[in-house]
Amino acid sequence: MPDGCQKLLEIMNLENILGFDKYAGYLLSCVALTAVVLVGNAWLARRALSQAQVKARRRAAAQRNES
Amino acid sequence: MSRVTDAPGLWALASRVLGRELTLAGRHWDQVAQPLLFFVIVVTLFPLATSPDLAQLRQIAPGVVWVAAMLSSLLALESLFRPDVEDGTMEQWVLSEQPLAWMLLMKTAAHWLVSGLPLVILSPLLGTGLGVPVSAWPVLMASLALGTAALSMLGAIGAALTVGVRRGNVLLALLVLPLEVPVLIFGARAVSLGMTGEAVAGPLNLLAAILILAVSLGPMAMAAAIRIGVES
Amino acid sequence: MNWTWFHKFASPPHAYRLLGTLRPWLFWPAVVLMLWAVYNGLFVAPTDYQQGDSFRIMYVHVPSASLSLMVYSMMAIAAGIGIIWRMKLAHAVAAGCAVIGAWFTVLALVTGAIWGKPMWGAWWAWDPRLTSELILLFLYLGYMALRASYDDVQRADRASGILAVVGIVNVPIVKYSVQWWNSLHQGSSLSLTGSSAIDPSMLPPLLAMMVGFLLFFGAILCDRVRAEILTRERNAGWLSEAA
Repeated sequence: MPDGCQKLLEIMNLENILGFDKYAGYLLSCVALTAVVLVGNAWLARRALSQAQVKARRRAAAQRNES
Repeated sequence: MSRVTDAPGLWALASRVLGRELTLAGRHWDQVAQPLLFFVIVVTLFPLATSPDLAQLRQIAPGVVWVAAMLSSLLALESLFRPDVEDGTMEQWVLSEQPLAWMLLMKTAAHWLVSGLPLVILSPLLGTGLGVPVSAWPVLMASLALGTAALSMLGAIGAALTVGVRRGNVLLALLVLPLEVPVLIFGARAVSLGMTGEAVAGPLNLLAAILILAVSLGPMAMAAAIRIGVES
Repeated sequence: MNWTWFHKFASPPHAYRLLGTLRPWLFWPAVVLMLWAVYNGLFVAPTDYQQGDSFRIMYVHVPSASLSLMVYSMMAIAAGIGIIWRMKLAHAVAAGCAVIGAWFTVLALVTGAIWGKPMWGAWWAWDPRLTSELILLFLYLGYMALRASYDDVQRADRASGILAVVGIVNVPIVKYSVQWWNSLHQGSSLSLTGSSAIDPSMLPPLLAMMVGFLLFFGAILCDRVRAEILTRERNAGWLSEAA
């Protein structure tokens, strides 16, 4: 393996970048999980809202047709 | 439609409700016996599944008896309000001018008399099978008497909430078990303290406190839930 | 006292619009605060001499745990208001809280377990805090299951509202009983949050994270409540303009 590649791998190594001790895996998985849950929740809420909007619009249109 | 001229007082009402419930229970005694049978079966299964060694069984005995009591009370709850809602009796109760919460409290009390009390009376027998010494019988029975009453009251809230739902079995368990966790903890702890001859007043007092709280606030929640259940 | 402002505020079209304008004002500050807290918490705050870098899990665990309980209280209060004053908006808030709160509870449980592995040597310990958090999750699940089993929104609101109110009475009892139970069974285990003096430089990121979580929750809640308002409006001409 060329020297440059080795160097690059070392730089890319997460533990070198972040410099955490042996607990890096635990810590990073917690942070990643939290990020996923937060973003997921925001997305789920947006989706629920847009679905409710679509339904409401349909209902309003139906009501207008009736009257 | 003519109205009943003499509205009964609270105690007369209570005795009427209790009388009705006990008569009904007497007619359907085979259904009433089912939770009790279930209690016996669950307790019997534990020695078969773990070990016949009494010394070992004695360690888990309080937990086994209490989990079995909880499951049996859960089984009995399904028939607490549902038959009366289905045949329209409960609707009459709601429409009548009598205090619904009081009637539901009495109904639950009657339910405890036929489902909880036999379990309390039977418990020394089953406890002996699990190695509970005779000296711990009073604690076992006292904790179960207070505890099953509290379980009936808490469970009745869940039963009232699920009465308007078609199939509420698993739902009922999910609603009721978190509410009943403290009862389980204090009840099982009282028994295991009693078996080692330590002071049991602490957990028993706490059980009594939970029972008082459940009796005083529970019926209001039940009444509100029943009103929702019958209005469909 | 004049209550017209309140009725105007609580009227569905007004609340719907207000929440829509409020959302970005909660969302973007939350994102900024959380990013700042992640940077400072993970890279700037000094390593704990006892727990090493694993203590940094605190920065996501503590906010989600505290929020899980707070959201439940908010849900129960909103449900109580909805039942007593028959207020649709309050029921909508309670319904919106449930899903988010349940997710925060799951998050607190999982990050607690992951933190427990290096600290206790086991993924799960029957620590009083973890146990009562688990029971809180059951309360959330029961609430959502009860809601889902009613077809009619109004009845679902009232039935699940009763459960939420009963549940909030139950929460302190569970907390006390579980602590009592645990103290009899085992010596004090290493507590997750560690009441020991924590380095002052560790604190600001934690506070920022908590506020960030709170604002983020508020932003999500805005969306959820708006959706709930729409499902509760049967005959509203304003829908076509608003939605």
